[in-house]
Amino acid sequence: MRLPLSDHGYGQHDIVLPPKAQDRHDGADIDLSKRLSVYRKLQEMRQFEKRAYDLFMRQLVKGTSHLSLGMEAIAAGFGAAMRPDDYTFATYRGHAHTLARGVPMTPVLAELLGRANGLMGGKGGSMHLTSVKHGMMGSYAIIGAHLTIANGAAWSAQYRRSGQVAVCFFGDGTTNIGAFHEALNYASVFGLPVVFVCENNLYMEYTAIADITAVPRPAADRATAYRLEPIVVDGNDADDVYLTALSVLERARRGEGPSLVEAVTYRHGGHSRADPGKYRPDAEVEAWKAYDPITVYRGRLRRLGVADADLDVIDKEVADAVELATEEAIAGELPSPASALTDVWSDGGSSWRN
Amino acid sequence: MNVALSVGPTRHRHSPLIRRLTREAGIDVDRVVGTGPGGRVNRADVVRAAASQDGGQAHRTQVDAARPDAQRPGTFAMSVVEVDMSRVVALRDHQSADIDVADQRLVVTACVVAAAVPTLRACPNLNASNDSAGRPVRREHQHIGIAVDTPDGHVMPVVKDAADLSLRGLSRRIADIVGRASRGELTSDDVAPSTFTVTDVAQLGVLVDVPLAVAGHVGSLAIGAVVERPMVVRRSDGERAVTIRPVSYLALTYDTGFADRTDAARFLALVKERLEAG
Amino acid sequence: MAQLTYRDAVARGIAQEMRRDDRVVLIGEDVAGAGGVFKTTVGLLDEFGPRRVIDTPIAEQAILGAAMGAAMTGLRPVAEIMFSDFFAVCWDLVVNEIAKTRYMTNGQVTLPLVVKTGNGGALRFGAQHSQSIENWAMAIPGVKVVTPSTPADVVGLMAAAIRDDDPVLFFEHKGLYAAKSEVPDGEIVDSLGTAKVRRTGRDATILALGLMVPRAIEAAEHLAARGIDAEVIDVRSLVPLDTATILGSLHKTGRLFTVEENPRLLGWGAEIASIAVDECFWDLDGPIQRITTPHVPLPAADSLEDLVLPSAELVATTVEKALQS
Repeated sequence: MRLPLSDHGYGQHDIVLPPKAQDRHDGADIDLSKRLSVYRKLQEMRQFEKRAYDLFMRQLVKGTSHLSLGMEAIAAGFGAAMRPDDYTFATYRGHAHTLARGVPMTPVLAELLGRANGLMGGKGGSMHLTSVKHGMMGSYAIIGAHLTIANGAAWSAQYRRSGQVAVCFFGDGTTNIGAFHEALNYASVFGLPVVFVCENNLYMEYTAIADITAVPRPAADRATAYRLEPIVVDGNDADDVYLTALSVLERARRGEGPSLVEAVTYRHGGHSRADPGKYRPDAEVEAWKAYDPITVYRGRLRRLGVADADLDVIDKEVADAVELATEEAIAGELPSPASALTDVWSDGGSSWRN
Repeated sequence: MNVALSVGPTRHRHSPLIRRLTREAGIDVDRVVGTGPGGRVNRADVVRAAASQDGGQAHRTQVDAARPDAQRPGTFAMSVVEVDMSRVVALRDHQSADIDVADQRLVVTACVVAAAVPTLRACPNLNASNDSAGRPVRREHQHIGIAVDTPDGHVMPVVKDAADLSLRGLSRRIADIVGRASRGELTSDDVAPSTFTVTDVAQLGVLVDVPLAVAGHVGSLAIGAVVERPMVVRRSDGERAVTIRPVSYLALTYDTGFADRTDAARFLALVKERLEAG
Repeated sequence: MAQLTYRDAVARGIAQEMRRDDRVVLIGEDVAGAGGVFKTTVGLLDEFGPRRVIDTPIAEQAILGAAMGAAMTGLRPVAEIMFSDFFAVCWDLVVNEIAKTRYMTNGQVTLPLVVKTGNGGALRFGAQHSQSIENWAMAIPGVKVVTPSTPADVVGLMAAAIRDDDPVLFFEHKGLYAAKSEVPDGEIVDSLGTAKVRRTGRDATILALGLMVPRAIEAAEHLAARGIDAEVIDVRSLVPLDTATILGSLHKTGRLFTVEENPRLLGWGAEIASIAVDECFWDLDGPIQRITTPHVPLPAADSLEDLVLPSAELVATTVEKALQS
């Protein structure tokens, strides 16, 4: 019997390093204004997430929180490529994906604080952020389940001939669960307009993905099993993500069926707030922190002639927006007691009897 | 007044439905002839019994969820319990600081009242007396009427708010009102409405009797004479032995239209426990 | 009026709704080309075509996920889980996703979907293809649960389920698929949350569901011959539960019995018994008794299966004995 931890000690597996070059996509055909809006989105996600962390430390955010610090380029890149009526399905690590669809910060933060002015009135919490009117069709906490649900939204778009595409984000760990395989086969068989995006941050919760996956690239190496092209992108280069996103979304819209994209990235923090992250070798963590998506993008913008001062202005505007959202969230009232019993059913109630 | 004498707690074998129907009809479930399997009382039996009551009493209307609302003084029943009065007698004989009364007989009354008062809080159906329409109503405070035999007849001075008093306070108050009652010195304050009555029936050695002033109260307690008797006790080594103990019978007479034999049995069991545990 | 089998009534109910609303679509294993392994969807592919009647892979999670995603985005899907035992394979989709999402999103998401399934035993299919699991479903806040026992009810309750904007688990009884009875012509739309008195009586109330309904009615006939007039109620809907009809009957008779095909512990009757004791204690003229399959998986051998599933005779004997003690 092969046991990963008999090959190496815990936290002593082979490290994976980020790409060396940061300028591969400098010359991509992307509008500067588009790039600046992507940069702004990256900042919003980063600063929001840091504020969420701070509020958790101040015990204003309760329960747990799964932060996407370091992984913003994937949500931002796709967000910039998607149509407003496309559908997003994300995991419990979904704050960035929610902001990517244009959901304002205040209700998202207020939801983390459990307030009545939260995105779901405090009923869902951090792991279930949803804003149907923005196309953010939910953040899902059961590994793999939402891939099958994304298929349903894609089927509906296909049936209604609307041209909408469902984009489904999930982690590397998801590629080993049953629902992943059911969903991919199903999507491929029916040619559904769905894009599956695996955010491979190299770790399934507290375990190296390489130790418990039969193939080296957890998503890309499964693609051909489902009649799909293996696609790997640099998950920390928002332009690489954006260009790939445009391509796979277009494919789906043309009726050519689903895609599976593996975007390689890295978490700055632990799996969740509770995680001290002792299982990741220091050298690896350091290397990836240096390959921070925001650092990469700033560097590119600078090379393309954007002044640091202009980027600082964006940073400050975002900081102010985060500040305002914090105030508004903290000022939010507690949800009414009655709301605990509302909206089980479509009539707004929860009654199970007469 | 019909009295069914029973000693100690009895087991109910009547369904909730039958208990409700008999309570609503104001009839004693134990007096209904049952024609169901094994003599079980069924719905038809209750209807028959209700129809044949003296005066042809009609069924009462649907009762409230808490307690039935009896519309006339109901039938009374009595339950009796035997109490080992060793501790009470010890208090009496050793002039304990808890007691403040010269008349030894009043010590027993005071102890019984002291045991009854907290028990009435736990058995609120017995702390009930009739309102102006003759309907029993649960009362919030415990005002204990003490029956006194005077040259001019029976009087019932009342220890008001007995729950506020310690054993010492109770004994003093009882001694006071009984003394003044005997001398004809009671004031109107002393005869305020009572919620429960206690009568010492030990005169001339009577063991069990119906207490005075039963009407108007759901519960009335009679204290029988304290008599030394052989009793079986369990020694500390687990073996049984016969010993001599002072024993008294406490008889509770209660309005079955408002309380039932479970209430009575519980009340007596708790009072007995308090008196025996000290 | 016409005689219709229970299985044909399923197809009729779905077709009725697919004709009036083209957002209604059907997916499941072998539901299209084959008309369903139990022949409950015969004719639907022919009438509505492959866009609306779809054969899926064997992938219960994918099937229910697709139904949920489609329901969230404008369709009204009917999904089939072939044997209700298989719900265990996709229980996450039912319990954690379909049932909870409207609540967690504070009403943003509506899920007008129906999951139809072949439930229950008496067909010698063995333990993994015979269980009655509507009691599992009753325990989940956020899904409605119906179990019709007659062909007319199948049509009407299927229509009601499809028209309902909430997720409905529709438990067909495999043992009743061949049962035939009169069904009115034309459109039939019933109501969820309503029980039906199948036989009125004064001496005892017998509640039953699915296959146990005809058995309870048969038991009531035996009892009548012995002088006991039993009222039989087809509960039909576990969520919402028609407590008014059930408790009203108990108030009249004073005796309550349930006939449950699920294994003993936490069967659907346990909850009703609890409600009855809580709200009708002073109406009870005797203990509430649940007549259930024992707490075992179902055996395959016909003689054994017949022993463990409650029979009409067991119901009659139990009720008679209870009323005579």
